[in-house]
Amino acid sequence: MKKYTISDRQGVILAIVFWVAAWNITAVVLDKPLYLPTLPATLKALGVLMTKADFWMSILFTFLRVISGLFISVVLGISFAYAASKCRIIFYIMSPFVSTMKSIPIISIIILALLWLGTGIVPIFICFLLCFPVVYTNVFEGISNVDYKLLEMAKVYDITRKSIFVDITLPSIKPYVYSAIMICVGLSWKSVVTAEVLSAHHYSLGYNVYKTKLYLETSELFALTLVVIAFSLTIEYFVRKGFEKKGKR
Amino acid sequence: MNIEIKQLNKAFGDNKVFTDFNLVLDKQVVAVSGESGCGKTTLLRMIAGLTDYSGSIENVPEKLSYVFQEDRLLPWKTVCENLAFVGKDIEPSKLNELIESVLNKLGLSDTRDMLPDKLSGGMQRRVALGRAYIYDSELILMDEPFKGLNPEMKHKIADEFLEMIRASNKSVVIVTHDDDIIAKADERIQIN
Ligand SMILES: Nc1ncnc2c1ncn2[C@@H]1O[C@H](COP(=O)(O)OP(=O)(O)OP(=O)(O)O)[C@@H](O)[C@H]1O
Ligand SMILES: [Mg+2]
Repeated sequence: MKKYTISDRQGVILAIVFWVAAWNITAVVLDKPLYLPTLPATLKALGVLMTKADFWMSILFTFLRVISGLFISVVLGISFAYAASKCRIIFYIMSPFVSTMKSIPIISIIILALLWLGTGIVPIFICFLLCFPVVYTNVFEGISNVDYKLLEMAKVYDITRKSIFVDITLPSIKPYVYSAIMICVGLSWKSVVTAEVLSAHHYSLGYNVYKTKLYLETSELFALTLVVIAFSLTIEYFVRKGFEKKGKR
Repeated sequence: MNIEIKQLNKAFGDNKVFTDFNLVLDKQVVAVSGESGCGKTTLLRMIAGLTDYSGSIENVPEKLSYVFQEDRLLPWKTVCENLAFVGKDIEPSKLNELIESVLNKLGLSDTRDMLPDKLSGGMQRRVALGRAYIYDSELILMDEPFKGLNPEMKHKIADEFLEMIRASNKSVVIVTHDDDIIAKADERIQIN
């Protein structure tokens, strides 16, 4: 028997084609556009959306919320993890917050946050509440796993605290930061759009999603969903490239 | 070097490793040997201040280098960067000169931009030795520094390194089981 081998890229394309085909065939057979629109109907809805300035503004604002939420989570997540690894008290104080955040229903916080904050900010806040614990936990574990033998070596050679952080701690936690960010990219889009649906700020993809429910525009809902997935994957791609480049020699 | 160890006591739980131990280290190249588990590594660690003890260890220079049983190089830094890592107090142009000469003497010139995991075990060893040498210390403690090298390599590296030491104002304490290495020392100490 002849053996076929496929490259990663071919595998990815094959998988995408498979699932898109499965979706489209199901939609055609089902023939209920209100429940499951076909691929052409979705693309058409996307085409219509793309002619509207509001749509682009929504993408821009949602994108900015995702990026800010992600950025704040990563910076604070790393800082607090570092602080907690240096100071037991901070570690104990952070623990209940982090474990609560991991299990609390998002919807409760969104509603609470809507009472506290302006509608434009709530999605960023929610994104932070979801992503921060992921970054914090990952990085804290990374710092705990820094090779003590290297730290001992640094002590013998009188290496400064700053240099220990830059030359030993940071490179050691890099894989942990990377996997945390990769998890958070998906999480941030999901949480921002969900919070937007409820906070209904005019310029937001979430608000567009909300309107599709009002007007039963399922094909538009699918189009918006495709946009979110595409952006999420694109950011993941750039994060991966960014980390690869830095790690290369 | 003139290190005086007096009335040293060290135990791990019930395991008494040193009891009222006295020793003077006053030659430039001292070899310390003794059977496995007798406390050679522990002795070096106490001199380096990495392990606590009771008793006194006097005249240990403030700055000392330590060649660990494992190489302990930074895996994400090149050979050159690993050497420069311990030379931050040295003026940059002087440091560069020093690194160049050490790379040359230890036969590492072709590897300066390579990461440690691309080097053979013997080369990694030499980088660890180079790093200990570059650090501006008066004393170098070495734990089995020439272990795991083939005999030819072992003699070559040991001779090169000790030549560098003797040409400098540094002293070394070498912990080793190896009779060839012990023979190269100015003083031989057997502990048990
Ligand atoms: N951190 C530690 N905790 C408990 N016991 C230890 C510790 N370090 C060393 N020991 C014990 O102290 C004794 C001396 O250990 P050490 O590592 O100094 O021996 P060594 O002479 O270097 O042996 P080798 O030649 O095998 O390297 C051993 O019995 C060992 O089990
Ligand atoms: Mg030992």
